[in-house]
Amino acid sequence: MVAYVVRRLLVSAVVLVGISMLLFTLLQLMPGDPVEMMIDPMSFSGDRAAAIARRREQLGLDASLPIQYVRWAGEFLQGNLGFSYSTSRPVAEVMVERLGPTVRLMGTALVIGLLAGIPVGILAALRRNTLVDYGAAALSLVAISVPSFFVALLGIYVFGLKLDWLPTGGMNSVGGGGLVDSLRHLVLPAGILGLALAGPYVRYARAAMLEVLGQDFLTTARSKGLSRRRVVGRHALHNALIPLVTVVAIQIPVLFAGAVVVEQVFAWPGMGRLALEAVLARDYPILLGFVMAIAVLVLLCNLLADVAYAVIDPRIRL
Amino acid sequence: MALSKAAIAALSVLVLATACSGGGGTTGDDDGGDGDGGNSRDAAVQLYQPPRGFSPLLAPIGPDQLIAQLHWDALVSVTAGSEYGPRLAESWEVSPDGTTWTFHLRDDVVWSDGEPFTADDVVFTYNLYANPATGSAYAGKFATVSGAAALADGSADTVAGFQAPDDTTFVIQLDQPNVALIDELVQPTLAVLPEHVVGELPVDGLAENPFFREPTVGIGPYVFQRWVTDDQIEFHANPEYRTELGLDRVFAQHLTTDAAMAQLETGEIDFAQVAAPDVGRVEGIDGVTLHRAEGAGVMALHTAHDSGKLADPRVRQAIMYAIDREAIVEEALAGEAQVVDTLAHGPDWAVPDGLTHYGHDPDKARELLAEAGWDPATEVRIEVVPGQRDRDTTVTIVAAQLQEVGINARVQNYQAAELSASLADRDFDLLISSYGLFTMDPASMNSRLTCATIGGPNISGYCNEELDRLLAEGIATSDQAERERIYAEAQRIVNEQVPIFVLYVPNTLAATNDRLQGFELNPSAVDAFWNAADWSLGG
Repeated sequence: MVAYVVRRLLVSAVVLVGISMLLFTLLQLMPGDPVEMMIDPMSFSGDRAAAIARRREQLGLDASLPIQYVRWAGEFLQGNLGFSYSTSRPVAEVMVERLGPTVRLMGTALVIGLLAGIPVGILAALRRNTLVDYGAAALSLVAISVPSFFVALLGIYVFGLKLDWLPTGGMNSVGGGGLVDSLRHLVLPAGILGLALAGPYVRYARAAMLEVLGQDFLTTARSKGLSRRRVVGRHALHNALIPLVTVVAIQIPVLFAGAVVVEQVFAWPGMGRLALEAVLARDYPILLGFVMAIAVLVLLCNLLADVAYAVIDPRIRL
Repeated sequence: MALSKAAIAALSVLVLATACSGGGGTTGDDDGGDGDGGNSRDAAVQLYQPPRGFSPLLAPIGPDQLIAQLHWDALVSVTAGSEYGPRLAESWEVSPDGTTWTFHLRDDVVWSDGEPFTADDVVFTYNLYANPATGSAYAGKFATVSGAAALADGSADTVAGFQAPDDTTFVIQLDQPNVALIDELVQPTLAVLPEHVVGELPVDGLAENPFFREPTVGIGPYVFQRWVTDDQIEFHANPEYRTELGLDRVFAQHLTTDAAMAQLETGEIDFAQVAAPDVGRVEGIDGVTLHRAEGAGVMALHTAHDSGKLADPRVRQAIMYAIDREAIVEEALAGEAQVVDTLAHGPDWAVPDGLTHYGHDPDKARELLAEAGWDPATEVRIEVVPGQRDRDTTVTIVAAQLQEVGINARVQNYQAAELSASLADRDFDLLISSYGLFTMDPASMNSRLTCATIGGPNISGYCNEELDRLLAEGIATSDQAERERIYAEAQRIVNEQVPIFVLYVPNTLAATNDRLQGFELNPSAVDAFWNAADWSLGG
């Protein structure tokens, strides 16, 4: 298994190099120029062309694309992700600062999604073609198809404005506040993101469970006279979990993407908003840092899913 | 099963750990953490874009200009009455020939670290503004100061025309007369920097120096304390401030308009800028006051004159007649704007009687187009950066109304990043943009309409020799009656030639929670925190 993991990591490194090169090229193809934008003709007074040239040189943007890439990659390998164009802050510092809030939001949402989705999915499978099943199917359909920005705005309106139970945005009250305050701010965004996640989880859990329930070894287990509880809880669930682990692991990067919208609506100071702002400002170093981080995350999560397979299912030998 | 339990447990721990770490740390001391946070002498204000920092040398963005008024201070700024108001300078005068400006500074001001503020700080800072090597966005403003050219070409280290004869006097010596120089100093408000701190930093590229992200010394009423997150800043009352302050802390946070309106309603924030379409909603909120002032800037369409597409003034007049500006103000801005017929729409003495009013008159527009031999096949793009409701509605209406008179107009969406490039390439037909303070002195049109500023703030590339001559004369003349005559003539040219299509002057709108007292709305939206020193909490 160790050899397998090492081999996978090496392949991942090669993939990352490919991704970074592609990304570097694509970013430059985006219409709009960060330096032109920084030195805004509307408000700049003086020799603008000279100022643009000066700033370009300062940022190393006067070099050719391959040279820029080699410089960037060299710094990247030494752990230096560069500096934000718009604020001149180190990219790594900005990203670490934003990672905490995002992990807090994502983590809670994931827990909510799993706790709400999987039991409901399993229950739906066990009570197949009953009201419970139909109800679960309907709810998961709603969770999947109603866009989260809409639910978010609705949540703000109902719980924030009309009932005044929860804050309408942000991660903390102004000036901090304690644990209770943090949790109150977390409820709406994490709850909404979590429920959106729960939708697919219900379906995956139900499908996986049904597939397992129909298999011969469960008939065998039942015929051995095992209690229903033991059949479902031990034999069926255990096997149904295997595909679910993959789904959950692979979905983690997707979560980051979904968070962009929720973070924006709830003024949550996380990575998603950072990325969006960086796109609008053409802040290449931040964008590169962000996308590379997502790429690493995708590769790691896929690896994790495969390794988890082996741990859960002894039949799979890596 | 065991694995997933462990995973869930691990995740929960992680979540709780981050939840605890975020808010705790430095501020968990003073309250239990419920409600609108912090103690009763804290205020929270909205920034409508993420702030970049405290560098006054960079090309300005709104949020930076706002937070600069908390942390820094300037010689003069715009007052609530649209006049030049004293700040660090108590008074000023200009010599009759318009070449010497003398500012008399307050003698009771100290920096937040206790060092006295003197005229040397001003000389030091203005040298930075005038020096392109710092990355300053304002070198062009000071090009006519004696010795500025010598600094730019490297033959001098400082600008000879900035002098401090004593600790409380600052003098600007000009090579060419400019009786309206002060207008340049308030658009935008130019902060003064502490020489004893900033003087230690390298001059080259100073504008981007990390010092300005976390400045250690300030001079305004509320000085930078820390970045709570990278779009929220905590300010503390400046212990050395010259008057007693009503607040302990101010938090400035970036919030989108929607989020800000919600937080205004729940009382989470005390100040927010208001978009015209939200006026009705804000007026309906208990405990929130809507502030309204006649605006100072314009919303206008700009064309690249050198492209030649709209070169015939009759075509430009036709466009003005084709657009029903009154209806747009009602439709897109809920009536929260004025329609004007010239760029510098104030002060009163500078707007002559008898200017042509471009009311909605499609027949006249068609007539003018026919006279000019307009080819209906010529496509006219209306360029817009979408995302602001009033602007988006406006361009849609304009496009429809231009089509009605036979102009093949269509709306083209841009991203902000693309826009700068097409501005630089002068590749736009009717670009909608808002800017400026045009109510204090008619010299405010100089930067937008003179040949010398093409490639800079004259984004349209408009050049009219007769207008140029008048505008140059206008800033060289100190006799008020004479200036009135000069500008009457200049305004008539602008009114008739339509170098810029002025659509409307949006009202400046803001909302405050009634607990915030002493807030006085400034007609210049980016100067909203100009009297933060007078803020207090009550109610």
